[in-house]
Amino acid sequence: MSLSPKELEYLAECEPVQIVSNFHMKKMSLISGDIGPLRPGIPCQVPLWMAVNLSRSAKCKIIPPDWMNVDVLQRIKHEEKNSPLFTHMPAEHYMAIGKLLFQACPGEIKDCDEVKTLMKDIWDTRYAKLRRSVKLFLSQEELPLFAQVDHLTMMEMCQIRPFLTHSLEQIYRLKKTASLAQAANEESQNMSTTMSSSIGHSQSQQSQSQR
Amino acid sequence: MKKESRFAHCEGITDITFTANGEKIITAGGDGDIRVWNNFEDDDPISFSANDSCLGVVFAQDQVIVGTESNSVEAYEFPKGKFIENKLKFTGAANHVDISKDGKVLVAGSADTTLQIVAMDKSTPPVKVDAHSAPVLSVAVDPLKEFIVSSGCDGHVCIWSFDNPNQLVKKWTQVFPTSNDITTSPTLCRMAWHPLLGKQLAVPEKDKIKLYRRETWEEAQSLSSSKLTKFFSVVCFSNCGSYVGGGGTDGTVAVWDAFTYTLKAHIKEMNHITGMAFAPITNQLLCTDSNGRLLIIKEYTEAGADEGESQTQAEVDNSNDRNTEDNVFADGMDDLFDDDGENAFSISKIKADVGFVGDEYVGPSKAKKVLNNGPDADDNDDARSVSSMASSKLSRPAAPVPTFNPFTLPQKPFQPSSTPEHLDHRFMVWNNVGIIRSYSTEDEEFNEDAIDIEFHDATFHHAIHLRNQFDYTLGNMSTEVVALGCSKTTENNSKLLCLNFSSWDSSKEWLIDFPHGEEVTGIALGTGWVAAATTENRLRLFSVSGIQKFVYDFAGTIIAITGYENLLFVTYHNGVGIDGNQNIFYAVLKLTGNCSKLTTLITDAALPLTRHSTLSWIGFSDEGTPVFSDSKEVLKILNGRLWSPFCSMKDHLTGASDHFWVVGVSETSLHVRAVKCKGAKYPPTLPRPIIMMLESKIPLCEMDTEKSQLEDVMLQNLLLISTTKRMERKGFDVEESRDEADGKTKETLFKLFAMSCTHNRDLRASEYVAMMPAAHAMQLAMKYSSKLHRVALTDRLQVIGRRKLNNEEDENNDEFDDFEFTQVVTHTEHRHLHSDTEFGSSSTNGGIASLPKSIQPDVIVLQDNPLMKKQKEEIRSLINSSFRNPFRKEKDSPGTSLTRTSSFTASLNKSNSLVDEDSQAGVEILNTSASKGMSKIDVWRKPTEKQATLPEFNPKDPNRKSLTSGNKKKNVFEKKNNAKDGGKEAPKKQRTVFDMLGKKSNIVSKNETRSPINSNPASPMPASDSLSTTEDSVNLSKVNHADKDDKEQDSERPFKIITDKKRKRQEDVINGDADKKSRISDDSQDE
Repeated sequence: MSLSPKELEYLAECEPVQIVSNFHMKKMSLISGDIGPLRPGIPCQVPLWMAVNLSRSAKCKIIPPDWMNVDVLQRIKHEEKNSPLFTHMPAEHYMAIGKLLFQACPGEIKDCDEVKTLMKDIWDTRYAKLRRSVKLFLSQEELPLFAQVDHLTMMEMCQIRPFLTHSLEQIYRLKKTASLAQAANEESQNMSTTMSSSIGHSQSQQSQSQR
Repeated sequence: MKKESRFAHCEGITDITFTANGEKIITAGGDGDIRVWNNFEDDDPISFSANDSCLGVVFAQDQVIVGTESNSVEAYEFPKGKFIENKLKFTGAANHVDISKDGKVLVAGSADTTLQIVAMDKSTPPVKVDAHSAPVLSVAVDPLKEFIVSSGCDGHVCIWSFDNPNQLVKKWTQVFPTSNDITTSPTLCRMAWHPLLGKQLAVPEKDKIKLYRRETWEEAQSLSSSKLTKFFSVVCFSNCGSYVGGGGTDGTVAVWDAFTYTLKAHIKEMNHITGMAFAPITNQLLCTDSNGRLLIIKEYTEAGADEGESQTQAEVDNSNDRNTEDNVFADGMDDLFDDDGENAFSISKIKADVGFVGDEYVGPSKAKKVLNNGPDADDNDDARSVSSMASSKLSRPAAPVPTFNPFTLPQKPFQPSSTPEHLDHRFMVWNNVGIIRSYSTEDEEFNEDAIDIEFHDATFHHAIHLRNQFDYTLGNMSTEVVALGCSKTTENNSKLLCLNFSSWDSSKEWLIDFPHGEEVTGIALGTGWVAAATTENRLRLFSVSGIQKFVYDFAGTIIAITGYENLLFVTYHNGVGIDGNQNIFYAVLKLTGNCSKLTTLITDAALPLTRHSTLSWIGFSDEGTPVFSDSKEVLKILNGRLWSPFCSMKDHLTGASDHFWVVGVSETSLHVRAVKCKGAKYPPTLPRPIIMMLESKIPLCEMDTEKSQLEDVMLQNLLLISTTKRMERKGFDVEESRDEADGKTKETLFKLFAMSCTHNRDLRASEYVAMMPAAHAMQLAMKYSSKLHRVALTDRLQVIGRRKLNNEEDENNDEFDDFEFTQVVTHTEHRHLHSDTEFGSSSTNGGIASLPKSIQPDVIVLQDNPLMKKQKEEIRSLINSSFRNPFRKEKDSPGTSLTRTSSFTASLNKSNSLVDEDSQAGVEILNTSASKGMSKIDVWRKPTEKQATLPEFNPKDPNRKSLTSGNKKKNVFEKKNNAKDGGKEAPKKQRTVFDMLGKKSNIVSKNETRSPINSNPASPMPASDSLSTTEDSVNLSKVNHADKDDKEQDSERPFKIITDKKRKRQEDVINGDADKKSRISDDSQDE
């Protein structure tokens, strides 16, 4: 089973993000690590879930990640379009982080709408590429199918996995039945050929012995 | 000669002028913008716009006056750019403006063929002159206010009488080709008067610049340049009148010497030169061209144009020949003097008045005769001598040339962490508490100037929104108050407004007016006080409730001030800097006595700015250390009494024109908080700037090597350790960061040690080990080196280790060297103030003992007072001994010394066995040489422990220092024996001395009635002396010190106590009780 987008979002919430809080907080020690101390006006790294929570209660301002601006995203989009392979994404959960931040603090992100479209564009490009490569992969004739795909994000993997595994299974089944059928076919053919050849063989043996 | 050009305006006629003091350049161009540049390199000029394209610009009385295409001459306030009024109205574009030298009369020429004359204060209605039959191209006012010259598209140049403007004085017709508008005219024909008495008028006439003599309007000289292919368009004199510059329609710029008419420089640019001005201060010529570019020609005096020079030389020779041959000296003389100008003439006249002709004394009457009547009345020889004198004078420049100015303009005062005043939306301050923003609108009708005060900590106080009624430009905020300051205007004095939001009464704000003429330039806040720096080099101190606490004067213009709790950091000019450097001094002051008194911690020390930079930010780190940064992006921190670079912010930048705008510094987390400004020096208010944390970086050599990187980490952590120590003394909880820094220091030191070992740098390795703080780490190092078969190194480390343990006391004293500078100085202060009354108590507080050595001289100064000396000594000895708690000593010294030795032996055995076990365990893994090393460790441990037991160990003992590690062991045993003896003998001796000194103390008490321990004379005295006797008995080297006076013993006593403590502590260390150690060391510090 692959993870649902909700579950992925949950994972993405553990990513660190910078915030500027407007209150004092002592260091918090959690299982995943220490958070803080928070001091008003001074940037600090906290998990995304905390940042979103605080910003919802107007207790902090989230500093969007470096890559979340038009210039960087445009560059990434350009690279993604021009490269035959997948390019490295600035964040593992870029879509999830983007979604969470657009919800939590649209005002903090410069050119929010443009960033949104760019991210969607990148996603579409990558997804199209992924589907194309899947098609290419499946259309390979030889049976030991191998393909290496780098820089796929978790979201993309989860998106394609159900389809890919399912289709592979189907193909496998089809191929298996096909091969079984073929085998059966061949067997019956073989049977007949071996029979005829054995007859022929015995005949030739006989002729040799006669000589 | 150097030239540079840069973009200034868009395409169109662009004009240039300088402010009256010559500090700033003002340009106005076809885009309708007026820009005020600090210098040619200024990337962020103040810019404001006129109503339409500007054709001419002048500066007068803090007003920028532009002639625009919208038929008006407009005046704008300088430097804010606020529109004042329309000075003149025309029916056509105002093509050119000029102002009289005194700045009182404005003249403008217009495309409607008229020129208008008006007084700047508009006291009289403008006078209109129908000057030309075509649009007026340019105008120029005579510095003596006798004439006005105008040129028009009809090709004429006319001189008008100033007093009676409609009276034509002189007219040159068909000077240049005619046209119908300024845009189509082949030349702008911008004329200029000689700045000295207007003795010459320069007019660009086609391909020549003609100089006309005043009054006679005869041509004096014609200047030309070989590079010029078209016409001259503008002409301009330097302020001193020594140079004349001309700009051509083809982009030629030429500079001539105004005395000798030699061509100094000529260059060729691309576009029509439309504006030209000589920099009044520096040796520069600035031009603007029709493409809107600003052009600078530097050092035009240095490289002469060869051909021009030789040509003029020939001319001069010619004139000389003519003079002597034709013997028409009178004419020649006139000519020369006129050409030479007023200066030369007056010099000759003065010389004549006192009786000189040239350098030769001929007597007053004759000289005057020569001068007035010419050679006709005299013989030829004299005439010739005068002639040669005059011509020789002519061939060299008479007036001082505008040479390179070695002085730097002192930088303007500023408020740290604020953005410039001319911005509409700006930060008044951004600090740890919050942000003050100011918004102003150009619009007169909707005057919504406002101030927004926002607190970082929203729980602390809500945001405040104010109307900016008095045009406040300065602001600062702390957790108690918000302070705002405004500069003076014509009606109002400078003001300081304080919003004391922490006050518990109902009136939360107070406003105070500064005396007339005094302006506030900086505000600093601390706990309970407000400090304002003013233009009178004055620092005014207020309490938060508005009480005027005091006024202090500084030696120069205060640049910036900043406060932290009770500390105040002031920077001020200490005169003019030279060679591009600023001369800035600083003072760190402490407010004491309920913030009413300033005591100096550091004063009159130079601020070490980076070369050729200006101060850009000052402040305190979060921990309270003064910090500053300069325009070269280097942030420096006060380290003791010296400044060390904390962070070179340039390394964090990618773009060359990017800058960091510093907001704060944290020493414990080793970072600088700053806002990155792309392509600017200041951040915009929107979008809200994001603070970056820049890691501190010490600019070490070879930063790309691993060694330097590790050393960087090490140094930073050492710095951090000293900071945390200081913080701890103040009562902060910094244990965590200190431990972290401590661990990191050890780690990096060990890494460095290992690295040096592998690189065969044994000496360096041993030095790293010597830097390690704990003996434990050193043992590890020794293990490591013995593992590597480095016998020599292991030996060395052993010695170092031994020395380290011995010197532990020294190190503890060293700790006081990085004692906070404040405490050092306040102690000095304290001693001065209270030395007479509180001597005893301060010494019992560990005053002398804990003070660094540098403080000792103060005490000596006190003792030298002959009147008080004896009495004081006696009192002191008595007081000291009483406070020393003699009872404890009495019981302690004999008894415990015995028990102690026994406990020592026990602990020694214990530790030895431990070590033996260690070494046995070690043998298993180490080879033979390694075990040799381990045995050496044993050797090293044993004696030091023994030495540590020495009860009489005294850091003041001169013999101790001279001990080398080699013979130390021997000494140690000697001393140990002595110690044992001393322990046994002490009780006996003590008794005898007790008896003996009991009497003495009685005598003393009789004599000394003021003694506070008079009631109980017997007990303290013997105790103190018994102490000294034990000391004498155990320390052989000190036997002859026994009969030294009380004073010396007194000075030793505190150390005695300390050493006892130390001894006890070392015992604990041996017992492996580390916690106890720290506690006891704290105790000893407290004491």
